[in-house]
Amino acid sequence: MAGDGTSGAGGPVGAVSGFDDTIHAPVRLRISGILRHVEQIDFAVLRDTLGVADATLSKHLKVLVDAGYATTAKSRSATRADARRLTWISQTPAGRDAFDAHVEELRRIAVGAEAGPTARDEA
Amino acid sequence: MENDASPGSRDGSAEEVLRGLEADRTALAGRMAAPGWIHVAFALVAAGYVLLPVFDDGVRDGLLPFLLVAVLALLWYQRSVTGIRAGAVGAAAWGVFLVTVVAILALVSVSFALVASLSPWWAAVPAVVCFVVALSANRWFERLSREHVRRGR
Repeated sequence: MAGDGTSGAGGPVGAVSGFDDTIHAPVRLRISGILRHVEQIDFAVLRDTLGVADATLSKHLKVLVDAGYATTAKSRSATRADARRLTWISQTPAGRDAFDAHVEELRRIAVGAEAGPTARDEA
Repeated sequence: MENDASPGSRDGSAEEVLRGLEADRTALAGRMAAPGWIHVAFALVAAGYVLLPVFDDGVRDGLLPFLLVAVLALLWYQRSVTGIRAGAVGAAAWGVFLVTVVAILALVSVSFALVASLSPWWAAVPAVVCFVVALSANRWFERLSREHVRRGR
């Protein structure tokens, strides 16, 4: 499950500023990354963009929604003749902040990797 | 569970995760393209707006709300068809939008002047120019929006 207690910096996740256990899982990170750049996105478009199954997306979306990082809303479809409705997914301000902080932390780790372990140890 | 692996479990994988996010943004930008006919429809509505001086006040008052509703309907349909409601599209795209609005308003003024000084048929000239300008600007706006998303701001 997400947040296994370890991080790239070699310490516990909670000890590393910006790391978010909920966003830590790759699929949820990718979902958050997409949502960060749209106002709303249809469930099917998000699924196809990520290349994951419906069930996988639903499972990870539920975690994000439960954490207050995403919301869902239903609306009519312009292209469907039947009564099926589109599910629009959007990121909450809290989700945006958490994602930004998480990515910032990843960048810090990536830069640390480029600088080499010695530089990080000295820091 | 494979989907719950730690993306930043090693320094190298943090870079991989960031590259993955970039790839997702590129895929998302690719899906933001609207069908070509929507650009044409937007341009036709803009051209129709420039043709308004041809009509009497009464007809004009009736057509104006119709054109506004047409724009809103096209926006709704575009978002519904692409499945994406874009958030921030960047200053460049908004710059194109602003310049286009100013250009359309200027062409309406030209249309009014031509109808008043020559004949109603002359309004077709700024209307055609408006169609070309709006079509190009719409495609440009979309290209800049997609580029903005691809770059991740």
